[in-house]
Amino acid sequence: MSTYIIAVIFAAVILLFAALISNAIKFEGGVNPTDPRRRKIWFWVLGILNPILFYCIAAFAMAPTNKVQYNKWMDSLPIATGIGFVVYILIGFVLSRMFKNGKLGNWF
Amino acid sequence: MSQEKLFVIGIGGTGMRCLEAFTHLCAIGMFDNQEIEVLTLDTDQLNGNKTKTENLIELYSRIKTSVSGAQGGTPNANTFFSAKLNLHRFWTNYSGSARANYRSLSHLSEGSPEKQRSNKLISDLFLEKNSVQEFNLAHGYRAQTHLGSHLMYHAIVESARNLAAGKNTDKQDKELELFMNKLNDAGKLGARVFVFGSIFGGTGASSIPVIPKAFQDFIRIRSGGNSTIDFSKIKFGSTLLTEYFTFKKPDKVQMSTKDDSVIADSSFFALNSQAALQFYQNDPTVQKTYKTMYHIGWPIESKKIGDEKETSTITGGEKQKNPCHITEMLCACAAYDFLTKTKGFDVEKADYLYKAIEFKDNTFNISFNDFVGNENKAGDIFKNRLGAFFSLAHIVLSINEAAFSTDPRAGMRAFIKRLNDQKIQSYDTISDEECAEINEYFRQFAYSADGERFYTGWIYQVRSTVAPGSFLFDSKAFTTDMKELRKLDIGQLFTEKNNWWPDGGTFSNRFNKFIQTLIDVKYEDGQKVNTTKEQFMAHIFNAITKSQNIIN
Repeated sequence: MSTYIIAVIFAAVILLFAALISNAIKFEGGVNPTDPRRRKIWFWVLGILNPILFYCIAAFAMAPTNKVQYNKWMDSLPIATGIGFVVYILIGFVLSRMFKNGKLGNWF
Repeated sequence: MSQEKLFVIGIGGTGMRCLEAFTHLCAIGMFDNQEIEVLTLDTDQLNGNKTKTENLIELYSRIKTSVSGAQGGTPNANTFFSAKLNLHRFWTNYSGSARANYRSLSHLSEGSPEKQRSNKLISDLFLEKNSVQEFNLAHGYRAQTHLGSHLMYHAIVESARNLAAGKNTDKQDKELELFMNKLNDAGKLGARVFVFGSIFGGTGASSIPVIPKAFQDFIRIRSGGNSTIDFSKIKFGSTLLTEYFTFKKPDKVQMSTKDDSVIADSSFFALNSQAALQFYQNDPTVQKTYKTMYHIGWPIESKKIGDEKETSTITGGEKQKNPCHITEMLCACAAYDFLTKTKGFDVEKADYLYKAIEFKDNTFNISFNDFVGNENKAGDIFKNRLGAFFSLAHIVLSINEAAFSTDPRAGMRAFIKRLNDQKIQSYDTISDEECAEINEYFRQFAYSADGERFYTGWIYQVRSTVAPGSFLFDSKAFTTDMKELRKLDIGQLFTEKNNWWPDGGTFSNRFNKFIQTLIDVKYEDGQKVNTTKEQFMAHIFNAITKSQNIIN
């Protein structure tokens, strides 16, 4: 169960990071402003990095040393990684709709 | 703001440029909730300044017009382009040999020998025989105001007579009639008429003294004696604008032809002004028909205008496109005072007003209050609206590239795209053509560029007449360097730091914070905006007003 909780927390942290980056990207003027695209790219890049980073950290840095517990941990890791990814996308979508006129609205 | 119907008249080349300045005051939003009838009056149908001003007013009206709305839009409040302007044009017909000069126009060679002799004697008494009676009138009255007053009065009355008699009339007669009908109708409840023109040149100087009487007689003749102008209900005001520019002195070669036997000589403008002021001070008709006259002058040596390479003096026509000057802006502000003031009309004879501005260490120091005073916070309102319009001009022209590019995505369209990117899609229906018209207005207001060449617009030209003195905004706001313009911080146009736009903190800048404000605000019901375009302009107006923090 703890693997799943950690995955969700990790996704939330990465999402917070994506939101901070999006807000730090300034609105531009001009004929072809690049800022909406840059926010979207950052969201999806972090979205892809989220499961990769989580899997690597969980597998190599957080895995228990006890063999039984290790096997359980590793068995639940792919599903937790998937859940983390889905949570990232879902919450990202909800936030994007909640702040649709703001910078987060550029995610979707 | 007055509840009386408002009328504005521009006469002659200088009058047209004052009208141009007045149009820009309307564009920045100084005449809320008003529908203003505008008349251009000239002898020179092709005059470059006249064409430019009329085109500007037409552009203004197109910007206010929407596909589904009324022609010329509707009056709004607290927004750009808030007043509705209705343009009317009247020009005297001096085309063809039968109307080209005083001699032929007055039929001096017609009638019985005795009548011809009497007409000739009286003409020769007042008008020099071989020059004033013979020069071509198509380029105006060329500083011959004694002739000009007579002929302008004649032209207006002739138009009324032709209309009353049901004769074939020209387009300009019908436009004058429409203007007069509106004036006559408004006169029952009260109206204000402001006349722009110089007193040192030809057409304006000739016409200002006779306009109220000529209009009164037009209405009387056209209505068959059933109607007239009551000067206690229709109040006239005007500028007394003395000389502020000079131009190339005419030479003998140019003056050797009959058509150009008289050419205005700017070296006499000071003398003309002095004589005119004495006339306005003493003439009982002027004193009776005008309520307020605003004496506006230029205290230092006048700048020379025109191209040094020109071989002859430009007497009028398409080539006459003098640059704009701060005195014309002051005239427009005089009109603002006259059209908005609530007292000062219960006078027996004309009130003459003037004020002075600071000229120290050989430079002018001009503030917002110098233009409109600060009664009822007029100075703050003027500062907010001119600042907002100038900021928007810089955004549209430099940040959104409309000054340098004909790309349909530039200028206002880029603004709409920005809002669309932020899921505000209510302005998407504004067409590319409508955006292009607003872009064009800003080019005329501020600047444009063609390759490496930079063209100054109205406010840049006005500022150049007082440079290097201070003029309302930071000097960086008037740069002509295109690289500097692209990097200009739009939120720092004012010299006062408390009017700089907020910068929004570490990960922000003024433009970023402005767009956030633009997303947060909306247009309001009190602004009386009906069409999408009006709502869009009001939305931007509110965002800039909030950013500038002048009026809360």
